[in-house]
Amino acid sequence: MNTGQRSARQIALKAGWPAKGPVCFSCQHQISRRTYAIAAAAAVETQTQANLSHILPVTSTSSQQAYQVRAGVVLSRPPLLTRDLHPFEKAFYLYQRRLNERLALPFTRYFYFKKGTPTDVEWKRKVKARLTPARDIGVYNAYGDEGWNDEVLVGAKEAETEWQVESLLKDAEAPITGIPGQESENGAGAPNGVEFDGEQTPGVSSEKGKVEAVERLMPRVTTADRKGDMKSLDRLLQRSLYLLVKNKEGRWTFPDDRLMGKENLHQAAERVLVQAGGLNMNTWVVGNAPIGYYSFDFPTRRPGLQKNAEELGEKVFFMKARIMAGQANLTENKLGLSDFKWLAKEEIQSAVTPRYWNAVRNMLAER
Amino acid sequence: MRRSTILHSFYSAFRPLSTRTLPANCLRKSFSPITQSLRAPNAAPFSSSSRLLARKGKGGGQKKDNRITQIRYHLTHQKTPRPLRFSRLRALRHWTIHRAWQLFRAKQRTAEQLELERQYNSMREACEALRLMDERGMSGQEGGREVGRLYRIAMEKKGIWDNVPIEYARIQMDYPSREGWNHEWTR
Amino acid sequence: MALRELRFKAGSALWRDLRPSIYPARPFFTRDASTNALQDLESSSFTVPPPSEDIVKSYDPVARSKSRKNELPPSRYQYRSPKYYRGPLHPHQPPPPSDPSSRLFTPGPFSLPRLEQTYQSTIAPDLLTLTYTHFPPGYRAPPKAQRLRSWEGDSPYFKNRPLRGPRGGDNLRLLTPPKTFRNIPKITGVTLHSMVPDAVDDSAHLHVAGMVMQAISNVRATTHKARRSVQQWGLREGKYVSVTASMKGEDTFHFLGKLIDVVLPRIKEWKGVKGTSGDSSGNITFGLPRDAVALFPEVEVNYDMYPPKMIPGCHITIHSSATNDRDARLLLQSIGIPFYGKVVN
Repeated sequence: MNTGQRSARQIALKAGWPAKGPVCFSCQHQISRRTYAIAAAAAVETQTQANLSHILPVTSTSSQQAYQVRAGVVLSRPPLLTRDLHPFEKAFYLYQRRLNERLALPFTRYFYFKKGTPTDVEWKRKVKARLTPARDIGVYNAYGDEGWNDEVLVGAKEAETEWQVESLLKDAEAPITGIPGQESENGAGAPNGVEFDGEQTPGVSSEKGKVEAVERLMPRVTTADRKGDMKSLDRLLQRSLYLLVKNKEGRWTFPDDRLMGKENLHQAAERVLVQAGGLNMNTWVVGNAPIGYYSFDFPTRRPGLQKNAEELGEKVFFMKARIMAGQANLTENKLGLSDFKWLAKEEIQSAVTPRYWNAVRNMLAER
Repeated sequence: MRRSTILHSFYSAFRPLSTRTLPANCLRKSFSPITQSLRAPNAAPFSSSSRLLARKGKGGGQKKDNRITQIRYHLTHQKTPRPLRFSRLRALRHWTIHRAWQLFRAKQRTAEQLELERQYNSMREACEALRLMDERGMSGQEGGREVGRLYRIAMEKKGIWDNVPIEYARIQMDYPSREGWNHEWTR
Repeated sequence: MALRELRFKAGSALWRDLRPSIYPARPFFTRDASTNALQDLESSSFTVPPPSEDIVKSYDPVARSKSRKNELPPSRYQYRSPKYYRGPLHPHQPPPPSDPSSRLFTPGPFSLPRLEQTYQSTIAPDLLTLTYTHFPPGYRAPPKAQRLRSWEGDSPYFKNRPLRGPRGGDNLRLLTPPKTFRNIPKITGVTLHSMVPDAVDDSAHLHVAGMVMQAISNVRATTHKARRSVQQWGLREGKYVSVTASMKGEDTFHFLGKLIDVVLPRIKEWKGVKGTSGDSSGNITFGLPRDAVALFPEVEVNYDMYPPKMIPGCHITIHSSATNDRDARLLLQSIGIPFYGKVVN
């Protein structure tokens, strides 16, 4: 990297690029000294030196210009659910499963069900109905005379994930009318005393030989989705959600704050997280490098922190952070924030200013 | 949360042999797997007690575990997989589906790659701005004493390796948990 | 039929937007004049409207084939892939493995694994952020020194000799390329390996081990012979003593998902994988005891069908595209496999 920096600088100097913006004294000094040390193309360099020295007194006498350097945090909750499949994907997977059914070895029943046990009887009953050991590909017999007919017709429901899950649950649900001895034997045989309990195969958990309804799965669309609760982290489980806060000026942004003293971006990000959202978030700041950058020039210059300094604008460097548990709480925040929201990528676009969105959009994940 | 894992695991449990490394030495016959599986194990020695008794008396060898016989039968099933035979139109349909899938996947992969590239470029711009920035936020020329301090710290990889929190590693599920997100987590 | 269904459901979407429906609708690639011209020239079957509802309802392929008076000529179905390869000059050549009439054809993916989606959406961007290295504009990588050594000395035989290997071994280690968005490490496969020395005396051990490996990995297990006799370990040359199952693609992700979510949390006092594990080219191995192997849901579902003493322990090698162990460990940590102790790169 060192060589790269040097070479880049040499290129810049040899090309005679003007220094962008006012250059601080120490920088100019450094540049001039090094160019002397290099001592190549002496004439050109003396000229640049002369130019620089010409600029020097102007910057030193006027008030010091500066930018606010701020560290922002892009706190996100990663997607918790798998995504909805494309209809083509669903159809393709069903097609491949049925092809596999034609190519797989036949199901060896007695390896999975002991002969004569109630589970065996139950299995016989079920397989009679669906003709195949696989439980989620519909009625299809790969080994029969019509084994060639493995394609489903237009509008078939077998490819739908809901239908497949429903059929799996129905398979687990069927009544067990038999001896409870089977279950106890199962439990004794299992290693470490870990039983093959009801949570895993809900249908088998019939202690008194009764039919127990299988626990339904939770819907993929939650109540927070239906209510449109922007503060809940249960919303949009298939997407990444990003924490946006309403700052002093009433704009929605990612939480950010000015760098304090000698702290670096990572430390600043951790501090901002605590100062903005409170302690009760389990977060992880990913890496030391910023993932995005937003610079903004103030319409009028503002007085800076130090005397004789004025601020031209602000530069925000965003750090990536992930939330693993907890929720933001703004009651004790020290950054003057008034509200927060958890938004997906395209919702952020409508919440923030177009300029901010342009700076920020590339670092956000699509999903 | 664990249920979906279990459901997935059953797929493979009931799709016993998907690889077809065995040679196909018998073709498809027209009986169903049910009758087949009923008939074939019964022909195996474990159902005929007289033969087992006779063998025991002769060699003095211990009685074979029935479960091992089952496993051996399962591993070397008589009906090895046979190649598919498609009609012309069906083969053409298959080819179309296959090509469409390849196209679909290629586009998906391109989209994934482009997204990563987008994020990478965003990072690169930020780091470049950080590199050329001095302590007061002005983008000066490099080489100054205070230029790029934040950049140098940001490029350090100390504490990056072997430091991923275990809570972070959470594989996506097919269906949400009953408890939902843990909003009440406290430090 | 699948093709028709495909045409209705996905056909039009194939050309416009292939991403899942949760994404906001947006043109995938910018269209230019040539694309439009191409579409004007070629009439696609995707533009044909689907058949009407009643045609779909009344279509019954089985009844149609049964009502056929004459059988279709059998010659149409006569193509057979040869049972073995007879050389490039033989007229009967096997079709490529992607052809369904091939004996090597394996049906494609059956699902989109959870772990793969997690990697795609979360882990890969985070690894990119974690390991980002900046290359300023104008940066050129410094030239690498020659990795092979030349023969130094005044022997006349050194002239024109091929270069020597590196010190300490003849193998060149993998080079780690600069990290970009193109080479984020990913999981490429998993190999299960189980050594069953008891199989020398009783093949039942080998069969049970093979069955267990096959059940938990969903691929056919392969057996291996002992290469030489070792008295102390009870090995005899040429006897089958071990079983492996190597997974690729979809199976890998399903296996790792089960391992991480079901098996590893239930092992008592499992500290994690040793930090010194790894072959310094991005593949990391750890072992599971036999009672942990029995925790896999496929074994558990009919646990009493396996002789409990014969269920083997196994070694799990996770192959990744990382070129050193440090990157591989970072990847494995982010999918949920912890490490402990001193780490070695």
